[in-house]
Amino acid sequence: MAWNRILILLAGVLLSGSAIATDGIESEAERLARLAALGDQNGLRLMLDSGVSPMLQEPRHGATALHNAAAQGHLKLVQLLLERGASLASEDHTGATPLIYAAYQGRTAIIELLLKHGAAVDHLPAAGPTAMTAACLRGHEAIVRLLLQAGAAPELADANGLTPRAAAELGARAGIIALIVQAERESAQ
Amino acid sequence: MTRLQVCKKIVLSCLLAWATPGLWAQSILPLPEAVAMAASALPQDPRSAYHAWDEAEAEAARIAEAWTQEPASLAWTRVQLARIIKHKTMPTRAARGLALVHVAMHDAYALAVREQLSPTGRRLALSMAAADVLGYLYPAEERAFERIVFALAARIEGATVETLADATRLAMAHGRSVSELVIARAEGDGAQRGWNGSRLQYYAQNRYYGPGSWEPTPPYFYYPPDEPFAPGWKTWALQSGSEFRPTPPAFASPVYLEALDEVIRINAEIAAIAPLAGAMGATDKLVQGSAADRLRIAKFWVDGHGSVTPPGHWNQIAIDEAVRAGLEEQATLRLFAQLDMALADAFIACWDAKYHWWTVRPVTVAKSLRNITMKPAVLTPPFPSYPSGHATFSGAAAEIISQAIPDRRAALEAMAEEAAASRLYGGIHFAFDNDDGLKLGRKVANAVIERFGNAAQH
Repeated sequence: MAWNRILILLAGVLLSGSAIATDGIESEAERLARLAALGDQNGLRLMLDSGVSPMLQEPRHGATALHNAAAQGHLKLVQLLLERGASLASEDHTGATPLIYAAYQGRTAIIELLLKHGAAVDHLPAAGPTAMTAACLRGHEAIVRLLLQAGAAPELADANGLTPRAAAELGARAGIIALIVQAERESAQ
Repeated sequence: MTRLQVCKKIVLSCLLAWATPGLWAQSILPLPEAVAMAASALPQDPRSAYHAWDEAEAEAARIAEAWTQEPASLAWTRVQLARIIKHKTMPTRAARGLALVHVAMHDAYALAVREQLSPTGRRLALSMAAADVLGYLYPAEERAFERIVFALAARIEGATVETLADATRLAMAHGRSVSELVIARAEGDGAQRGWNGSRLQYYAQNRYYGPGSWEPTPPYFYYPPDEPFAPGWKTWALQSGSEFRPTPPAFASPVYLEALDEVIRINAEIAAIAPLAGAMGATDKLVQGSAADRLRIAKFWVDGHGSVTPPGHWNQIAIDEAVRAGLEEQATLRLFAQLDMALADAFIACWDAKYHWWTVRPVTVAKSLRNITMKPAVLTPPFPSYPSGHATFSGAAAEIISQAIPDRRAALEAMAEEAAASRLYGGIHFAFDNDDGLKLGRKVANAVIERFGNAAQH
């Protein structure tokens, strides 16, 4: 079994161009997270097939492969990781989930997929933005709309005390502010 | 000054140095146990049909002239600074190289003292050590530095390269025995990782993609970022690059947003006067004022591509300070070895933090959060923001030089503060990048002093 795993990893090194430069010491967790960010579906699948857990967190930031694949918009990789048991609730060192990474980076299709699989829309990290404040900060209007449709609380402040509306006002995002005002009105009724 | 006068002055200064009592044999790296190397370890004649010998002689003449007026090592510092400009060395590589050359000179001198070489022999030993390490750092120079040392030796001895005395060749061989150890350390310091001979092979190891993460910056959107493997380089005094790792404010926290607004405001004020300043010169009375002063400061400390770079800039400052203070040979060697080890470690510590936190640059976050297009007064460097490299270098350098020349502390700290602030004025750093960079640099400097002693004590 161990030999099988070594052979599969070796095949991954040979087949995956992104692996060639790994001339330092890279742990399985770091490698899994890196391949996910790069969109290396083949390399990632080989690692998962060899028994590497999709739940591994790279030590520096605590990101899982799902965080990075979601952030970089690799839809097929996100699907693969979810099939293999990756957790939507996994948190990096700031408490951010894959949904927050995707919201910050503006990955609309990923957000739809994660919400469909039951991602917690109002997760509140210990530091940094929520999915809503992340999307509002960056002006991702389509994502704000999706999050509100999924039941995101329009007035929920993040750990910095920033509300979605205040986040949107930083960049004078009129469209997003209008969405939030409407959602606030509806939630008040 | 004629050649004869120069030779006389060198001999006189050497005799004066020899008369100075006390041995000085404390080295940074372990010295060779026994100096059994023969003078035959050196080439009999370094000249070739492919290289201009007169260039070596001209450089040797400049060095010999400098030796009549200041400590011997400073001439080699200048040779290295000129090569940093010529080869467009990156600041990170410049810091590493400066440390290697100055440790080599320091230790070659220590060896020469231990072996009781004459003052001229000590100078030739440190020269050969510097030349060998420079040759290692700049292979495209095709051993130009070795030729300079031979020309220098011939000039001082009043001989030709073929007729150099055995004692002269032995002194140079002492330098080579030290440079071999320094180069061996360099070969194992981790700086080769990722380079395949022509380009960096970096495939996003340890990159962060969450909120507040770095993105390539305008106008060139250059990728990969500079020196992503530097956090793992071997340090001189620190236990590791992460020993003093600082922590930035949380992304989009009130402190963060306040700092962002400060960069945006200063950038807008400078942008408003920049065209006028460009047309009339920033010193013109019409464009004077705080914004013009800030633009001038940003440009003065820019130390960008093709300059001596920030570590080189602080070596220039140290040269001025050492000459002004009248430091002797040994104190100068100790000061520059400490300064450049501190700069090299400061760089590693700074890059450790940069590639731990991967924070976004002001120009990116101003657009993505505030919807404001900034036009920084200087080019945003292609790597993460926190902390500022220039601030870290400056904090370290000012502290080291101040400890060697205490009466200059206030002026040096003011320079460091200004160098750090220049990155805010240039629109490429937040104030907290600079503040924490300065603090980090000072900690690194104190670690170097703690390990290697105060230059003023020697």
